[in-house]
Amino acid sequence: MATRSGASRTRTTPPVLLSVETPADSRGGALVMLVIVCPNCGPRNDNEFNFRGEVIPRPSVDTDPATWRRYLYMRGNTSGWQRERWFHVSGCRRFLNIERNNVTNEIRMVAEVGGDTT
Amino acid sequence: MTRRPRFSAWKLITHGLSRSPWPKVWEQHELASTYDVVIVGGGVHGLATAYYLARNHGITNVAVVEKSYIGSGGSGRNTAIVRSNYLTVEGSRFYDRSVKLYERLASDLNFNVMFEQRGHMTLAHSDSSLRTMRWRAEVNKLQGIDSAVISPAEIKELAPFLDTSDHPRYPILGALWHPPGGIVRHDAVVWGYARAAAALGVHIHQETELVGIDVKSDRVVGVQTSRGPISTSTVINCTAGWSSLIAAMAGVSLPITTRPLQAAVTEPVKLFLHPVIVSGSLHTYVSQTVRGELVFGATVDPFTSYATRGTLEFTTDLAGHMLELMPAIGNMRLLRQWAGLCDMTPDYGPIIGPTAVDGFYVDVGWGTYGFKAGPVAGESVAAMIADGKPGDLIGPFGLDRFERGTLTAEKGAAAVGH
Ligand SMILES: Cc1cc2nc3c(=O)[nH]c(=O)nc-3n(C[C@H](O)[C@H](O)[C@H](O)COP(=O)(O)OP(=O)(O)OC[C@H]3O[C@@H](n4cnc5c(N)ncnc54)[C@H](O)[C@@H]3O)c2cc1C
Ligand SMILES: [Zn+2]
Repeated sequence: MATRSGASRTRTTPPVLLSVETPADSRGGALVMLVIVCPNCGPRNDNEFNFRGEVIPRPSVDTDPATWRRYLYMRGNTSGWQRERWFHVSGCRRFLNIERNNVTNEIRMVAEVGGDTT
Repeated sequence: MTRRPRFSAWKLITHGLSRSPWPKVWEQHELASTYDVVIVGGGVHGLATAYYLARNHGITNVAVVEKSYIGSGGSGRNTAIVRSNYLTVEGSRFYDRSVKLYERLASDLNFNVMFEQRGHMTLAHSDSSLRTMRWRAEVNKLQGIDSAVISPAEIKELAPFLDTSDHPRYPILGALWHPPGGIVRHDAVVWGYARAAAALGVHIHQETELVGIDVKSDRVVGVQTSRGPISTSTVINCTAGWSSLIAAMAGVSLPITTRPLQAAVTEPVKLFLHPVIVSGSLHTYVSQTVRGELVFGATVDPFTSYATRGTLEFTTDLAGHMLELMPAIGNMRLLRQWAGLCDMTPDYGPIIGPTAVDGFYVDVGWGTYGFKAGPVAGESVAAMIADGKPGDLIGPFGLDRFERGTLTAEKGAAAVGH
């Protein structure tokens, strides 16, 4: 008796939870996490850290409201190298200054806030 | 003025049989030395603005300069959700106008934009989100927008594949139901606006990058592009994720940070999911296209970037959350994932209006939710250019609100919901 291949075909691979078939758009970085070398804890994945944004000098608290609001809201948001602050929330719980290229995601400097490179 | 080509089923058949070439949809032009208005960015915002300038105000000496191809930014990468059930009065009113414009856009542009009002459902998994939804529903109703809180039993009827039992980690307690919401074909919206604007005389310059803005005593006098200079007195920044860079060319700073947002799509299956489903608590949303693919999205990436890379973290989190909502889709496979750049603002409201530089306008800050606003923003920005001042609908969204400290409060309805 002829078998209809469609009806009797079974899956050869076990069911998978939403498997990734093809790598995503890989321009500007592969399908990997950012690895940050914490000066206290060593190399760690980015999901151990909290991103706190670009470093902006804080005006003194008795400044005028307009200057204060500029500090709160306005951002350089440049493309390329940026100096930014991260918090190692699942590690040493220290604030870090990091220089990261936000196009290539390269990191060239990591230092604890309050260290020599503040 | 050239007549735009018409499309019909008859033409499709005759062209298919005769294999004769389709007429050109728009002309390529030389870069003119002067334009009345230069629009930077060939996404839905730039193209819609060009179209309404020409159609509603007869301003046709307009150039759209796009560094890549039209729709190459967020407008070609979004998940195409359209809705108006926002949290604030100014937000709901504004987006409701856009829904109205979308409803007749296909006939306005004579281009099928496939707008399907299948309903938009935002799930509540906690008492506090149920409370916000009641609040949103009341704000919406006062604006005449169809929006209501519904029970798990009603949810099950509208979307039988959702797990509405009390077994999941975050059980579904209710939902905000918004029947006029839905999805649209994003590429078609971009192409439709481009074609209609071009037919009215607008020049669309692809592969033309803006590299500088000439400002003389606080007034725009021209721009520099990769194909040469243009003299103009009016420049509109419609570059979303890149808008800080364009504004900096005019010496204007913006309260914007650029973050990637990722999305993914599965293999196609038979239609089973009619409405758009959003879960704020699970940071995810899903809709099914007419082709049968499930389109997923989530929140923005955890740090700023101008790179459109995809991450494995996104896919694994997404899969975990989606399976909690719809356990039945465990065997489906993802086909693609991608990212686009989003121009995030501190208050999740857009920034539309003039700047400190005369003749330099912004229509930015569209974050993860700006595709749906394309029609209303284009219409309002065009009116602002023609009248010389922002109208009522966009008044609350000026750049000066950050100096005055009068922010909008849209985060509760815009952070994940798109
Ligand atoms: C994954 C994802 C899902 C989304 N889902 C939704 C959704 O469901 N609903 C919704 O409403 N919104 C959604 N959004 C947001 C939406 O896509 C954007 O807000 C919207 O497309 C912005 O349109 P735009 O025209 O302002 O900008 P864009 O479409 O980004 O266009 C800006 C253009 O400017 C060009 N440009 C940049 N620099 C220059 C230069 N120097 N010279 C010339 N041109 C330049 C770029 O090439 C680009 O084409 C989503 C976004 C993403 C990434
Ligand atoms: Zn550490």
